[in-house]
Amino acid sequence: MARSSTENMITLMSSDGEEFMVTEKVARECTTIRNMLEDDCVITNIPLPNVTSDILSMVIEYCMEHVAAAEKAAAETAEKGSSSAPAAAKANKDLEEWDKAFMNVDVYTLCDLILAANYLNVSGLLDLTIQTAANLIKGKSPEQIRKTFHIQNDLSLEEEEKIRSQTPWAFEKSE
Amino acid sequence: MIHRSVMEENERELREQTKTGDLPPELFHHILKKIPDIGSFFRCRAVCKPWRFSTSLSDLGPQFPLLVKLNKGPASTDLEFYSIALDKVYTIPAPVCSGKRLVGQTAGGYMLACQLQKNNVINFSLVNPLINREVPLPDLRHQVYSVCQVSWICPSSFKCDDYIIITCNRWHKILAFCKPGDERWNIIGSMFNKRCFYLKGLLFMIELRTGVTKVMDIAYHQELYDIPPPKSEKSPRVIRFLVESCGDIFGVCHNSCNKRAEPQYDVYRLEFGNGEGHPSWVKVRSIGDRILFLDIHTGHGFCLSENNFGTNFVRGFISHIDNSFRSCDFAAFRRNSIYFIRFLGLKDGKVRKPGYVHAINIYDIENDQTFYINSPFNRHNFVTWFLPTLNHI
Repeated sequence: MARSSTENMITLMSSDGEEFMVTEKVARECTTIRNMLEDDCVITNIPLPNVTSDILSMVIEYCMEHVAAAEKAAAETAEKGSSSAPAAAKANKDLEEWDKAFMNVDVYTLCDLILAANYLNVSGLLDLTIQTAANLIKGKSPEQIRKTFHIQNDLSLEEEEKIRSQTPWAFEKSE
Repeated sequence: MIHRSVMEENERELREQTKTGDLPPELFHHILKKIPDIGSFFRCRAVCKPWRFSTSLSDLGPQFPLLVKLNKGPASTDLEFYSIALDKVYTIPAPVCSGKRLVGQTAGGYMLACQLQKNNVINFSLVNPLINREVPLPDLRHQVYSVCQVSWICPSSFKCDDYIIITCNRWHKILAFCKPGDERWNIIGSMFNKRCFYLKGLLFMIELRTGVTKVMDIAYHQELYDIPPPKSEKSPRVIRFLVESCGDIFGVCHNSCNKRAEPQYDVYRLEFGNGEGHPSWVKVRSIGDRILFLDIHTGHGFCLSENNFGTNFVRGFISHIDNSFRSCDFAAFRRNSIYFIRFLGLKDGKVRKPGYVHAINIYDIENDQTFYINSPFNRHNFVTWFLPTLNHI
């Protein structure tokens, strides 16, 4: 089908004025944009004042990869009449690997991506980034968490002592 | 909220990312809900003011199961928990458990504690050791010789306002149930030679001799139907465990439990037959992404799946974030597998010695293989599964 070549292109504009041309299908991965398109179908230029160009380009990269994976899976199902379980499992695994590599970013970028995914409402990306942040916290001491996320400790000594004394077992040093 | 630091100030001049670290509290809640380790949860809430004061205990997300060590006698003040996922032991002071006998089964973060008094009166309560909380239950007057003869029939989805069902006394087993706040226990009758499970208001009573399962509505005290045992070439197979997961009810059979031989499991799904025909057990070759956790000693089990981690365990959490674990976080656990605790008899050469030791195994359903897990606990102690929750009462 020639549908893909005639597909609508949408221009997304980042906060720093850079323009990104994407297919409508990719743009629709962002629920916020999907809602805008459904409210006003002739819209082709969408300013996104909350997202910088480097973060927007990453969000688009994520959406394109996931749209491509979904299209590939759909094409395979159509070809064979039914999806073969091992192939689908492999495709899922590949996409998981891709997600994992995609999350190889510093914490600043990670936080920006969380905010962007939340603002644009890309549930898969929000889930992925939130999970990545949670993984960075797992198994660390409060001091290590502060270091990882560049957080200043604004708790007073008394407050910290009080918090620790409520569940002292959680703060024992592991050997 | 993540604060800007000096380092970030420098970076800010290079990139225009002033808001980099300022995560709004609602997004931080989501992060906190994705931490499956109870220790990390508490440490995370000790990082800074916003992380502390914009969050609460109810932000605890679904947790990986822990092993809890049970004393043979009354519990001491400290309880020991072992996290398989992190290979870590937590020693948690739980004065509320001190001196009471903890019945093996645990559900919804609770343990059933009992104390035998004079005149055959047993005091009962539910205890949550993590928040040191106790819910009193009515006393039971019944001829027992020791509280070891009490067991709790609890579904993994147990909430504190649910029925608490116990069986009591080894030989003329009685079944009794109550809700917290009730004046007394309701006694149903003899449970001799039966195994009971309770799921969603239904009591499943499996006759060990015939393998037939009788299903009863506990609130109306009404028998609903009989389920024949799973078909098998040999003698009828008896379902030993009943576990619920994402709307499915699974029955698990196993061979050999006290023998040294490695047990093998068969898993059946309960099919209701769309109103036509009778409910029956249908064998399944795979449980997909699910993981079953069984304790052969207490007959207690539950099921985790990526799905029900998200939906069943976290109620009232409405968000566009799917609050479930991604498969990469399940890496610590083997999917389509059964984690089970069993107790092995001790032998000196060929002579059976008194006493048992526990063993923790994983049975991989797809490959029909059994693995061992090392637990840091003395093998002579009883251990059981514990799913941490901080639910208030």
